[in-house]
Amino acid sequence: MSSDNSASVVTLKSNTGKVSFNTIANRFGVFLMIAVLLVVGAFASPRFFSGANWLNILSAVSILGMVAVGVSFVIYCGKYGDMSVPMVMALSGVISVEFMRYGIVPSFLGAVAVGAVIGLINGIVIGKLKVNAIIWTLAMNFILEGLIRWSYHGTQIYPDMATAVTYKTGFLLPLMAKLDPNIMNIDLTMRAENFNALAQTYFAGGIPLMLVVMVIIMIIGYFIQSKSSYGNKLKVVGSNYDVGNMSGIRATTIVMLAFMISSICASFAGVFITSVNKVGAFYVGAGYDFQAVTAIILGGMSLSGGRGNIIGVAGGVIMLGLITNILNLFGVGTFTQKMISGAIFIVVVAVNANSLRKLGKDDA
Amino acid sequence: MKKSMRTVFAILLCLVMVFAFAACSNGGNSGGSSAPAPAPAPAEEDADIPAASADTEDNLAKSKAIDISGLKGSDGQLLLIYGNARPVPERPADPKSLPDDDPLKYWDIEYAGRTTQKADPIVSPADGIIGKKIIMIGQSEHPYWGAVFNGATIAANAYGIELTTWNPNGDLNQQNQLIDKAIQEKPDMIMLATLDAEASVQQFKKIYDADIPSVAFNMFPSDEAMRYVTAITGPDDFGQFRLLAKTVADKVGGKAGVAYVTHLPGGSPYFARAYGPISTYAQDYPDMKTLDLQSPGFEAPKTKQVVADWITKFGDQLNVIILSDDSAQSEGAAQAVKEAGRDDIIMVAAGNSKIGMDLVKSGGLYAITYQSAEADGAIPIKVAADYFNGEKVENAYYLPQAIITKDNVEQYEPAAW
Repeated sequence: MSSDNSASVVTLKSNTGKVSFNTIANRFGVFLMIAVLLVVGAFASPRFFSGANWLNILSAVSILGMVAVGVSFVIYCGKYGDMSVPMVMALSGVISVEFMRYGIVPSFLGAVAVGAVIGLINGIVIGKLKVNAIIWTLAMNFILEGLIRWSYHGTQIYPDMATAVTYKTGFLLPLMAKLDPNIMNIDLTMRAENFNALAQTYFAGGIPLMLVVMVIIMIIGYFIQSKSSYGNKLKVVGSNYDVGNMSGIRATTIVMLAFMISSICASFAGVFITSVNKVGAFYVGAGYDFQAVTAIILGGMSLSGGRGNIIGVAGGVIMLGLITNILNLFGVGTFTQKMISGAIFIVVVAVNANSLRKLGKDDA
Repeated sequence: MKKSMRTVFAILLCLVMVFAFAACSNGGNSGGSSAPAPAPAPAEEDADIPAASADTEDNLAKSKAIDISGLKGSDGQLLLIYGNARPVPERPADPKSLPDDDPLKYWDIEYAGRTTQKADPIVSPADGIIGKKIIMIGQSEHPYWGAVFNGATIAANAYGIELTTWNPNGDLNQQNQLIDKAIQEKPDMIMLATLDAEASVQQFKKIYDADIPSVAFNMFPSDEAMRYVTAITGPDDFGQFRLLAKTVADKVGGKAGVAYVTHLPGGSPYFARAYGPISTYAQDYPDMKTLDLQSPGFEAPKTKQVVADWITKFGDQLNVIILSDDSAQSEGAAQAVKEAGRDDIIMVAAGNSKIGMDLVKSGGLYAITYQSAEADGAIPIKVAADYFNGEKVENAYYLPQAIITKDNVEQYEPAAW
């Protein structure tokens, strides 16, 4: 299921010269599952292969795809996951709404800057101080949640509405009001429309901007992870942190950058999901941490680090979108959908682990 | 040792960050286990706020003199509004055995508390509402609940009540712990929006056994739980959705394929907002056919995918979508319909949030129900006032029913949340 980025020449034959199922499952597992799902989907609806349905599938997983690329860097370097993703998304969304009054570009830059700072803090604490990544990022998630709720009194903010009351207490808004005393006098109507339109901007044939951004992030992520010197170092650190250190790699910097990438990707996702909801709030982004990890694992990336790539992650993301789409087309209820999705997850991970074991690799 | 030092350092760093945020602020609420104090809403009429330490002797007289009937919420609507309770049909012998589309199947939820034989009621001290300590336990941190607590606070301030609001973050275990904590604090009354109809029996019995009167608000508990409750207040969800269902059916000439985006399964809104219309259609509009029900939660992207999948699956058969939430769910559905070029699909939803009313104005939603979140919080306070003032308290108080469309949406602006 996973394909090592060093393996530029794909070898499917085993030692005996035969192409084994385990090798195929190891390298292409998620895409085999997608192939199976395509066959099943054909029975779900005659419109399954229509362009509109495929745009719907891909559009539905665009935000997840952005998050998954970022989190995959954290997992690839052997740090299991980034649980601060939901609140990075929420905070970036809130910040983008606040900065939206200065225009779309500052809105994006503000959100990304916030994500980068949070990622930097995560990276320093986890990379330098060696604090457990799950515990720290979970703690960061709580801190950010409290910060947003405190600043906005548990309410949500609308791009076209200046919330005068919230500018008096809390942290973020009074700070902004101090930096720019005229903050309440900016006409928001047109800028809010532009911000809300982000999620509803389409290119040729109705391709959503979100989808384009996801693809771009995936391509950039692929090159960084699989084709760059940083990616190689990330793989070494993910495979064996101590070996990485002894090889002269500055492992802490590598880990720090991985968390920054994760948070920056979550920031992009946060801006778009806020535009979809037309509202900035602390609950926006909930659940995307676990969904991203699910997509990454389905895509064949090992939780213990150093194995897998972005192509697999993209496969995992598409697979999740396909499963939901097909089950909806079959009219399967929400509860049953969860059970089926869980069962598919178990099967894929089991097949992956088994093939890795038989190929002489670890089963992490 | 070195590792321990790192951990300690990390914890300290964490604390420093928290305190740094606190120090940088100009104030704010230090939440604790209580819900964040809602921002004070401008009440248009100056309520005479009495001192909580009024003499016991004339407390009742002073309490009765307080009139908050003209008090308004931050949305400019009257806070103390009750609708007429609908007549109660006879309860079937076994409602659960009836088919899903039979209106009487949901009798125990729809008419909970209306005819319940109460346990021995906790007698009111009839010494006046002023200075009473009330603990209000809500459900979650959803902005709707912020507005509910805001309305409750406005009314409580007007009455001179010491009100504490708590939030269990949607967790039933946490709600049960908050109930225990509330009982230990021995307030004069506990108000509870139960998270689970089945669990509500034990929740309200526990409060009753502690000799503390209670009001069930917002979410209807089971009929059995109502034995221990002084009164229930909240939206008449079934009534609202039956009305909404008829509004849509009349709009489409009584013939359409209908799909439902439900509330969280298990609670009374799930049944009211899906099976309320389904059973109404089965009885009065047989050509309104149910195509599907899905529960994607309150997320715009997930609802968008569900609705887009419905459009793919049902094509022109899909004519109406009934949503349980006029905020994120409706926004996601509206985007899916727009992307598919299916502006002919008529969508309706529950609630009157800003997003919902904006969608009504833009044509994304045909209609929404009127449900004042602030009134939802203020009415139980009024019931408490009647109780402690020794006045008659009814079994149930419902928020009034109304349908908001493009024609009347401006009457309901601005939104409370």
